[in-house]
Amino acid sequence: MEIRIRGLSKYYGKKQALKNISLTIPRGMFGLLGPNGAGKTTLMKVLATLLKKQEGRIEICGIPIENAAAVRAVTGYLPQEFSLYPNMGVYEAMDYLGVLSGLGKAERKKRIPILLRKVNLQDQTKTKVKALSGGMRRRLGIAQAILHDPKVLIVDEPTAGLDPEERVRFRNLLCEIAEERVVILSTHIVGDIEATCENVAVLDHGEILYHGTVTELIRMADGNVYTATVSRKDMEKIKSAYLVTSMMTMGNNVTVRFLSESVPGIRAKKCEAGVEDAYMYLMHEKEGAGHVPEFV
Amino acid sequence: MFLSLFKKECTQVFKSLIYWLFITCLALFFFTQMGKISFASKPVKGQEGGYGWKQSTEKSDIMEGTLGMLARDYDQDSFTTAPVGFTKHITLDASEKEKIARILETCTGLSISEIQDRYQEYVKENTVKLANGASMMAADNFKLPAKKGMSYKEFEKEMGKVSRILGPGSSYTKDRIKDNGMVEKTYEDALAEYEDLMEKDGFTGGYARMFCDYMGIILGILPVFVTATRVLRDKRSGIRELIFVRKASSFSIVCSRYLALCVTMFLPVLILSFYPLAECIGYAAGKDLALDYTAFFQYSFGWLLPSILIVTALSMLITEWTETAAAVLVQIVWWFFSIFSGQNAMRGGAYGFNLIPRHNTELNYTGFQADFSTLVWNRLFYTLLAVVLVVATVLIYEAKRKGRFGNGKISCNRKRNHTVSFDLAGTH
Repeated sequence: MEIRIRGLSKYYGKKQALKNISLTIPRGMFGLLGPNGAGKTTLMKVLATLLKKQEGRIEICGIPIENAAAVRAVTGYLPQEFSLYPNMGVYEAMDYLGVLSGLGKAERKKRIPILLRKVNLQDQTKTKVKALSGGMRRRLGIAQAILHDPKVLIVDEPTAGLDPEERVRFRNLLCEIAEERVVILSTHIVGDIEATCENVAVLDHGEILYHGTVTELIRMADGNVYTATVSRKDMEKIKSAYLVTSMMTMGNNVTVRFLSESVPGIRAKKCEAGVEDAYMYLMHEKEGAGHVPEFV
Repeated sequence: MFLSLFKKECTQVFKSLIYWLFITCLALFFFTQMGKISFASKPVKGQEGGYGWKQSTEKSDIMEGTLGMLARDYDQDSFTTAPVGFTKHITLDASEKEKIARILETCTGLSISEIQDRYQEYVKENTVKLANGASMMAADNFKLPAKKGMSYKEFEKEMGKVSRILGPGSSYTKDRIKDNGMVEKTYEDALAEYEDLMEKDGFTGGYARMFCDYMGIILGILPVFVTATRVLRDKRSGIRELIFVRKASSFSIVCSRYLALCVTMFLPVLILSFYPLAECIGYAAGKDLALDYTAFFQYSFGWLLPSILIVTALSMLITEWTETAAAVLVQIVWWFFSIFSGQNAMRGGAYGFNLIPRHNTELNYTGFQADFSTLVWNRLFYTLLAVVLVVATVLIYEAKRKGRFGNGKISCNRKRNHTVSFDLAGTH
């Protein structure tokens, strides 16, 4: 049970959205990280058979992507802009999509209540889709995506716009689902990857910058992450000299976290790298500096 | 899967507001236009002039009728044409009028003043005074015989000149002059028509044709609204991608939707047909009439269903293709052309390949029989065309599923063109 991508390229007219991508995505949660416009959605849509690739080879659980009907039977998809008929009830919408997935009446009757319970929507069966909150809709999105018990689940930017509580709930749900299938989570929110994924790929401008485990990704930034407390007036200098990954203001002082390849010229403490630090480090390296700038 | 999908699609149509508006318009049109049937009564002898008119194929009748019409138009200085279906009144300048006068003189062998005198005399004889003091023409079928020895070919040539002066769409074109030979029906004609209705037509047959005539008009346009709304609903609600990635084939999705639309739109037509059928049964009660109880069903299936099939198929194709409501505009244009081109065949018997075949009378069974094969070809043609259009829609749908028209963010954003998107994620 895996997805194999070899030499995948995709063009929109003359613009190359994906450049010779090769990936192997095993069972479990797989994170696809990248800034807006990196090509994440394009890759997800190619995998979901919604876009045609121009070059390369893709196999989903051993099925070539060209065999769209067979691929659709083993794939579940939650698009970035998820929506259903607003006037349909929750159960009715699930039932309609179940029919489209080729499920029989008895199977639908059995699976839909189980899934709605799983996503904690069992009390909303008759609620119209338009009356659901953003978080509820996202959970309904997951339920519809695994309705036909797919081997692969493709989830595009699922937590954007959710409040922190819903985000945590959603991440847990994804982890639960990933126990028995391949789940590809595309996001530009690093926290989602940190909390859920074992394996990750970082995509930028259609190219894979990194492919491996989250631990290895973090290791790339290890020893280059510092934290310091500086006065607010010095912040501009710090920002221009280092790659700041986070900061917290307390009165006139700011506790800042930044990347530096050598010991910085200010009183700073080395600290443990996180996924966000590693991601920023990677993105900055790609920008051509080759190393993070030093305080001048 | 197909049957379940079909049922789901039917439910969706039943639950949509536009469908109930469709039924309301259909019922309103039926009750206001056809409504209660005024049943034909047996003609009584000795009412010459009151049996109505029929079209004659005699060349002398055609020439008489056409020249009478031209003399009337000349006298009233008002000529009518319908170049694109819409009636247009033309007033000629002095030299053009002079040319018409010469043509009239050539064809009749009379001077123009003699022709005008004859017409004025006809007007005087046929003008009746109404109770409120106003006056009106009792009949408007002035006839002017062609001069002795004038051949039909010469006559056609002269009418060709009139056509050129008036422009396209007048009653004097080579094809249209054949419709000008209207003659009064005799008692025997009227009786034969009545007997055809009672015996050959099973009584209900004539009324079923009239039902189809009325319903055909409204079914030539209404289905486009239901279809376009259904197809655009997928786009508006943003569910397209979720449907695209399902296991169901494009054929199942498109065809189940198409069939559901056609069946749900045909159902109220069938139900409405019970009303005139019940009227016929009520009228025939106690009379020695052998009613054809299935006539309304047979005619509805053969005559009206193809209209629903083709309008729905075309609307579905255009809407799926353009993802806009352009189908409504296309159908309105087609509907107008069909209505106006059918104006000269209101009594039936000249169905041609019009989308809306006309037969606005319970009588004229002979005309129906004579042109029956054309009507069958007409309905078959539109049914087959509908099948072709549905197949084309399936191909377009399949291409869209594979992203051939762009399912990516870049193409979607281009298409969106500043319209507000329903973006749940709230990003980008």
